[in-house]
Amino acid sequence: MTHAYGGSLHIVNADGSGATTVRAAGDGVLTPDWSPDGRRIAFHRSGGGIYVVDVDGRSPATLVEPGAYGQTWTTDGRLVVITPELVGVQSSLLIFDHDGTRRVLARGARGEVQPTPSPNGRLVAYISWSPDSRRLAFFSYGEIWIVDVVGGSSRQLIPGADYPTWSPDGRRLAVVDEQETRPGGRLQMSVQIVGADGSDRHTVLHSGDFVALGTAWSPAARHIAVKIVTGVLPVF
Amino acid sequence: MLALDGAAVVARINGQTAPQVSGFARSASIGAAELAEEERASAAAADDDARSTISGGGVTQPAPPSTAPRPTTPTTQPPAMTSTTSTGRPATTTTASGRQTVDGVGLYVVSEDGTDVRRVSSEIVGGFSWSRTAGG
Repeated sequence: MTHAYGGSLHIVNADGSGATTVRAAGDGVLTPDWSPDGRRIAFHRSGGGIYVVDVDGRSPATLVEPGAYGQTWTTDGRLVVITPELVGVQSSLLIFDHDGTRRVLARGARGEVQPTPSPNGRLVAYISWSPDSRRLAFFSYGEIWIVDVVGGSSRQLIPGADYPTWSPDGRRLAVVDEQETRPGGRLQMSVQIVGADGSDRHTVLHSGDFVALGTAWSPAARHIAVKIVTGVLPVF
Repeated sequence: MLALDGAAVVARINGQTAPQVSGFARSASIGAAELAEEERASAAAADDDARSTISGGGVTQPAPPSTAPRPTTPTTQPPAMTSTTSTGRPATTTTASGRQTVDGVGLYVVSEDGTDVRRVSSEIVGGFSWSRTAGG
């Protein structure tokens, strides 16, 4: 496995043996991610930008996209990143194909939740700003969109939801639905399952006045683990 | 091992991978930045073959009283009924309308149809990940 601390990047066996340093302290390494073939590591560098480095660390890290963040690999080894939102410039979801070709997959992607590739690597679920987005303490309303990484076509799956996670077979997603209740101005969250085509959406758990912060499917897709944290969410 | 059709799930509590839930101190607060980082750590934890598992069935620690702020604005709450898990631990509260609502912070495991809800940890959880060899 790989880990970063103090801005350096290390690889270590699961039993703690064989630790090697890929990038030295001061390189500002954050959030390293292995490529599916295990040959490269993508990381976010403090100060901005997504870099890729070979695991042997012998070559300099390559800057993939300045200012970008939220990197993730598709299962077939393409790299997806988010560009920052700047004044007058929407953020974008970018994909780097195997030959290095840079393509804009979608505009308006939101980075608090990492883009999540489907198990077969053909689709990416991501969060986009909803037209009436309002920031909460550390939440904001979002829309879950799905984009085809080959054809580039996007479609909205659910408005007012976050944290999409694909079922192992890629046919369904678990999401955290966010609905504002009035009067009282509270955000009520629930964990829902929905088909990748938008069908059969149903609630499996309400989090009431607590905050649901992500889900994880069991390997056989019969159960979902849900993280619940403290918090009453005011609506501004 | 947590008995969920043979499944096991690992949780990171306060940044540590917990070999046993009861062995770690709780924190009642967690910052937004830490939350974001822990979300990333959740994904990284999936690559950690040295994962430990939460003791289930074997989760013997009694559920602590919730430290979460309780709702203050609703004035008309329907009568509630507390359900329990197979281990006797409170998991959800079912309102008169039949909707199940979580009963505190922690890590929950819910069946895909929503009929089976278990609170497998009452700690503040950071990242979490299923064992790849788990059933469930």
